[in-house]
Amino acid sequence: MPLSKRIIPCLDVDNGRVVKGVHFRGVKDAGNPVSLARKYSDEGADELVFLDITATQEGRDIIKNIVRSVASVIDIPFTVGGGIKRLEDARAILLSGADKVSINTAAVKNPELIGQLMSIFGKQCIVVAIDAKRNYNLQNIDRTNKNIFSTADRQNKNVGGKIRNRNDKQEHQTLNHNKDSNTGKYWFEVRVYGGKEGTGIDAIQWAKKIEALGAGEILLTSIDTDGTEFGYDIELTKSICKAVRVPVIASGGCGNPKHMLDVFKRTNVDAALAASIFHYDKFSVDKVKEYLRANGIQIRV
Amino acid sequence: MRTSSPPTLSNKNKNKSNNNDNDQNIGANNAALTDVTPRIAIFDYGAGNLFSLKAALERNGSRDVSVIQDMKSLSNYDGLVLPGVGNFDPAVKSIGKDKGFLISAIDCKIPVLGICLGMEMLFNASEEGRMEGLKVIDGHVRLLDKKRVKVPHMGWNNIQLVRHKTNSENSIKKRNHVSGNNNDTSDGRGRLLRNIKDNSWVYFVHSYRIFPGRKSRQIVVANTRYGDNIIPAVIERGNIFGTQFHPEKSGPVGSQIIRNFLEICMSNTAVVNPTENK
Repeated sequence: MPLSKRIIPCLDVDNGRVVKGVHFRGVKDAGNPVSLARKYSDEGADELVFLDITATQEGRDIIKNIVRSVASVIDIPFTVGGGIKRLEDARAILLSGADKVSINTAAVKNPELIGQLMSIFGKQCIVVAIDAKRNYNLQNIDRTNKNIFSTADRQNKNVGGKIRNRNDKQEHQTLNHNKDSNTGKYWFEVRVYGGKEGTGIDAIQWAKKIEALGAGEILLTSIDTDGTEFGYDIELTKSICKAVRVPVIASGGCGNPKHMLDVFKRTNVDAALAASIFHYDKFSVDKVKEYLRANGIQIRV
Repeated sequence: MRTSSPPTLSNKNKNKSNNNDNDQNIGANNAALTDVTPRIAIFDYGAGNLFSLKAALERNGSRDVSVIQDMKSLSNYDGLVLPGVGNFDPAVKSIGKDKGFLISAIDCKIPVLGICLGMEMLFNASEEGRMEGLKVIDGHVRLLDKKRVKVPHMGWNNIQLVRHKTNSENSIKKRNHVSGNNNDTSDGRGRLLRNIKDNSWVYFVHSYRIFPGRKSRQIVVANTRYGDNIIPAVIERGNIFGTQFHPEKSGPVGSQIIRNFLEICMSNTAVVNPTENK
């Protein structure tokens, strides 16, 4: 029996409030984290992810209190990420009641942290988040450690290069907004500091490396699709899932339940994360899960 | 005696009063399971997150949950939980000299619930470590087969209930009879899984699995399928219980299992305490 595919509402927390950004910019208030957590948990969410996007140190302490309150009211696992730089940060979050910590920038800057966390807490507690973005610049880079993709490949995979439906059209538009992408060739670059800074690291190589270092799970966000609500980044998700054996969570771009169905049908991903479709009561978690189950996806009900 | 109807599994309608941030609602409602609630000890290996487990025990009906660092005072409690966080060797080491207290408490029929690693420790040894296990149950703990399935086995999976009809089950019943308990839930499945339906979903996070020895295979009361492996998910022998999954993270099903354990602890007290007074 395969595991149930997981539906994971994500709550971006800024100074104690849930917010939602678009393309890693421009945030809107979406509610109280503890009430939202309980609502999602009651509706049948399989897991929750909290990402602390608070910039200041004082704000950081708020998240620990939130974690504590959340842990006392919900009975499903949850992950906390954002601003975890050192072992002590992770320990504080886990001791406050989180099941997993998610590290991103810190893992890139200090990959040994993954192994240290693993040896203390076990790999099941360690989620490494990858924020990846297509990079169309293939000049002056070391191609030997890059996985090169091309727009042509992607179109060929659709029947005869034709756009089959609205979703593909949206995906096509989303992924080709870059006017400089004349060569049609690109690679997926790992970006850090909330997507602001490139690293020169190939996302697929990085996924393999963090798996070897002891990551228990990968939270994969496509910066290209994040906030667009046009659907998950199938190409990126598929490539990462093929490269590793640890569970992968797809993130970025979910605008409706069809997108979740899509990512589950077209990739081997273990979980789908979404924020905005749940926050503004557009869709409830139970309705989404019912829909996926009716469409043949293994779902916990 | 119940003073109120047992808490319902679903809290779905609670969020009608959504916008108030009072997080204590659920705990307060569910705490009213019985007049006297069982005193539960959670043993701390010093490895982290016991908060959710403590909260789950409190939400589901114990008003008296203590995190303990040594086993000397076990007789003050109605039940012991060996939590599922950490690694095998450090966890076994943390029990260390107290192993004798634990074994004698088990001999005195204190209900013990081992969760994940907490259950694995009850066996002879584990591939996760070099130290000897507690050897309360015969069998070994091995790493899941990485070539065939993703490790860790992490996520929601369902459990298939096992029904035993053998002599050894009868002997377990006889043994329980001493403390006035009996395994008979009319379906022969033991007490921890009372009111749990076949194929219920629960949350697993583990890289190792148990292989009970030949004589202890009958203790498996539920399995789960992962890839083409059949993995023991719940064990029960007398007052010793174990789950490979995390009931404290398993939504309504997990809550029911925790309530079952708390009821076992309560009924155990009800019978054991009067004899102690004599």
